[in-house]
Amino acid sequence: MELAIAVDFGSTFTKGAAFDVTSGKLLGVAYQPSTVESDIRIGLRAVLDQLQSGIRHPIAGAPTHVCSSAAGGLRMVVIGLVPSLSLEAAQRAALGAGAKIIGAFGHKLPPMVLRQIEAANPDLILLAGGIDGGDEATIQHNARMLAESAVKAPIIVAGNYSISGECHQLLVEHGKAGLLAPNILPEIDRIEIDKVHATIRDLFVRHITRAKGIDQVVNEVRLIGEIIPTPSAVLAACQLLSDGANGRKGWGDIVIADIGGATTDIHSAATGAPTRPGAIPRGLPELFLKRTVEGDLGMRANAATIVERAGAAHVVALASSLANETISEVQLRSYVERLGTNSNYVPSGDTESAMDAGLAHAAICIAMQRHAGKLREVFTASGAALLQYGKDLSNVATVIGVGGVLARGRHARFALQGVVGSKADGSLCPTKPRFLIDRSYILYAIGLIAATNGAAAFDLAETLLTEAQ
Amino acid sequence: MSQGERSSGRRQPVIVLGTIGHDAHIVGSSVVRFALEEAGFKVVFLGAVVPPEEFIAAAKESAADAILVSSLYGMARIDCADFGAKCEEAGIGHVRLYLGGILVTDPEEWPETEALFRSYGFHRVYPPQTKPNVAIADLKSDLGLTA
Repeated sequence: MELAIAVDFGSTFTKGAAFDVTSGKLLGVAYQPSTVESDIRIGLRAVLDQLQSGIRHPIAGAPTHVCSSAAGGLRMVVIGLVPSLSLEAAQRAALGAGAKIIGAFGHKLPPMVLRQIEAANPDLILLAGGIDGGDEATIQHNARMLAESAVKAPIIVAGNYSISGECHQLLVEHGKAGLLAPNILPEIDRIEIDKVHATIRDLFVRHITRAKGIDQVVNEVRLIGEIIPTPSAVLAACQLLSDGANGRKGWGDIVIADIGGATTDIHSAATGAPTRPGAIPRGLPELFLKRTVEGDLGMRANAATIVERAGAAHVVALASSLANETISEVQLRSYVERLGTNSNYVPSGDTESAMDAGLAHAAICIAMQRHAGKLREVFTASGAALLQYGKDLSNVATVIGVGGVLARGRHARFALQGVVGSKADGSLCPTKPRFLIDRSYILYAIGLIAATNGAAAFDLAETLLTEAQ
Repeated sequence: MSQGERSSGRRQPVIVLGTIGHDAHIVGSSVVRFALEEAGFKVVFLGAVVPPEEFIAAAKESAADAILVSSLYGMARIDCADFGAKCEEAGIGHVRLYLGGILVTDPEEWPETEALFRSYGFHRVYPPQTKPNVAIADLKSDLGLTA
């Protein structure tokens, strides 16, 4: 018996899970209201007590892995030059590091945007712009604007290497916490994010967890590794399950759909290389691990925008197909209105369960279509040609669903099938995956312990992620 | 790695290059690419089947000195219409624009073809069979790189 504990500080709950890493078994899970606003130690102790109450073996002093999305998570502003190039690269770098993007700005920033950034008070700013040897004027202008602003957040400079050093120096001279990293877009067709990720991770540990009081955890438990943003833990799980560990064969290409009250996140572990013969990839190259966050699609606060984006008639049709009755648009709209004002609402009865599943299906469908690439057929002098923008995920073998509506809702399989989407717009969404559900909300913990106990984490996933019903 | 300043301390001139529109011919622009690199230019190579807006985005991000557009399938009239105006609108009106290949399929006189594409904003337009060194010599003189 060798214990390991994983803890996730969320905005609403502090969650914990205890494992025996020798046998790869889950010993218990715990949920307690979050105490991040007052003292994180209170919620943490409650979680540890709850875990201990179900385990005979003493858990005090057990190696503990921690992630956090509390106090808004890692709130980042990203700045670039061209929206489809360096700004897109900066957004991907931030999302891949587990951040929540609260502002993304391209070109030379006007004073108005600086006031907006000051008001948003981000945890971190990523400043990019220009390929190596390319544009210098824009990043230089933006560095000066930031230097002369009241912005307090650390600023990572990761643009054109010819001028990044100068920009960094300017920021430091103006008393900003500037950090220099290699260009995230060194060439027009090459994204380099590893070093920027390392810098973000380091800042998260040294500044952000401290500012939010999460570093207190080191006095309470035997902390293993560093405290990471919760989305990074989920991405680590994605990588582990795709790769496999220690003689365990990985699952290949994977998609994780995480649908919450306010956002729907899609993660993919896949090269996304073309599966259609002759398809020509266009646009920025894709990363193996990709994360997208849809801030307009969520089961509670953003339920109304799901209806807006998908169309009320479509959601009504989805819901009616599950219920033994015809649900009206009026019913749907009044339900959605109630959800918007009550983020903890739990559906009761057949009709509401069906509407919840219809909303989830529609949200996952849209989020997946935005995450996946698209094929466009063009006609050339030598016949038709296929252009591929983004990742081809049509051969993804496994889709994992996370979120209350999937873990506890009545029509989880139907809701998660939203990833298959419609092929009408040329989206390269998964076509025939198997559907698994994270019923015990354990994916973050699998990602956390993967770093030190890959095999145990993989075995846990094999038993705890179960076929969607 | 070709990144870096040249020993003179002057910034290496940057050229954006690709085949425009729905044209998949990549050999011609590849030949031009190697000739340009050989001549000391930093080349941002976009390949084939490149929409006009991708040329413009790449030129902005790389602060390009010139854009070289290749078109070999006779549809340049459609693909290159108002290219210069689009650059102007995007704030890169100062970038020199060059166009070459097999631009039209109908047998009109070269001066007419040239005049048409110059009206689209291209500073230099090359007829079929032009050798890369001709364009390179023009580039050097247009960008003030000749000694």
